[in-house]
Amino acid sequence: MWLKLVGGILVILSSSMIGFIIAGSYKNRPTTLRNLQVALSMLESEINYGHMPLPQALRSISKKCDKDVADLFAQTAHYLSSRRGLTADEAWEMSLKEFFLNSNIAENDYEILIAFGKYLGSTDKQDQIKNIRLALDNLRQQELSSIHEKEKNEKMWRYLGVLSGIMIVLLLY
Amino acid sequence: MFKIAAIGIVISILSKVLDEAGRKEQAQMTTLVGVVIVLMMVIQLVSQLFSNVKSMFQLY
Repeated sequence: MWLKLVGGILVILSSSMIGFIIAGSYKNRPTTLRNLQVALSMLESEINYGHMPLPQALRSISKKCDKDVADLFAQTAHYLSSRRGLTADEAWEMSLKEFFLNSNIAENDYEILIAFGKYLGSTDKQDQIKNIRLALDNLRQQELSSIHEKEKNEKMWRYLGVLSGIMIVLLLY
Repeated sequence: MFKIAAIGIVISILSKVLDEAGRKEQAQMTTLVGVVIVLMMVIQLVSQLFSNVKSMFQLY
């Protein structure tokens, strides 16, 4: 009797956690996108007004911006200054892969950032700024659509998690 | 018996949530699935009832 109760509670808890985690990924995507935009516009002003080399600019941005995107820039700066002969594009892509695995951005956002990285650090100041502005515009569009998606999906997945847990327990009881 | 009522309640909440989130066809699908599950339970109970009546009256 006891064991049945404990098992049922475990099933409900675990399936509601699954639902919460899925809902959480929908909840975090707009925030991460906004932080990425802020960081990119900081990069734009660094490139426009400062004359630091790229790793130093990236490092200073990673100190100033929000926690969840700071890692991306810090890792890129680390790979660039590690003297392994990586171009800015490759370093950006490597740290972007790790960032993609650990956070909630979607496939579309990943592609925007990869396309941004292709031109990073390889053209002159004006082109870099144009590149950044392009990426910023695309990210802003993605942010709007992701807010729309979040409102549709977040509550639904939370409810789905809890209710399917209860269903399973009821069917097995 | 409480299983049937509880499943009914859960299915109705699920259907409402899915419907509100915009996925109407999935809501209708789960309602259908819930009805099938409840139907199977009811059939079981009804067959039990039949066998009880049969043994009580010893008719056929």
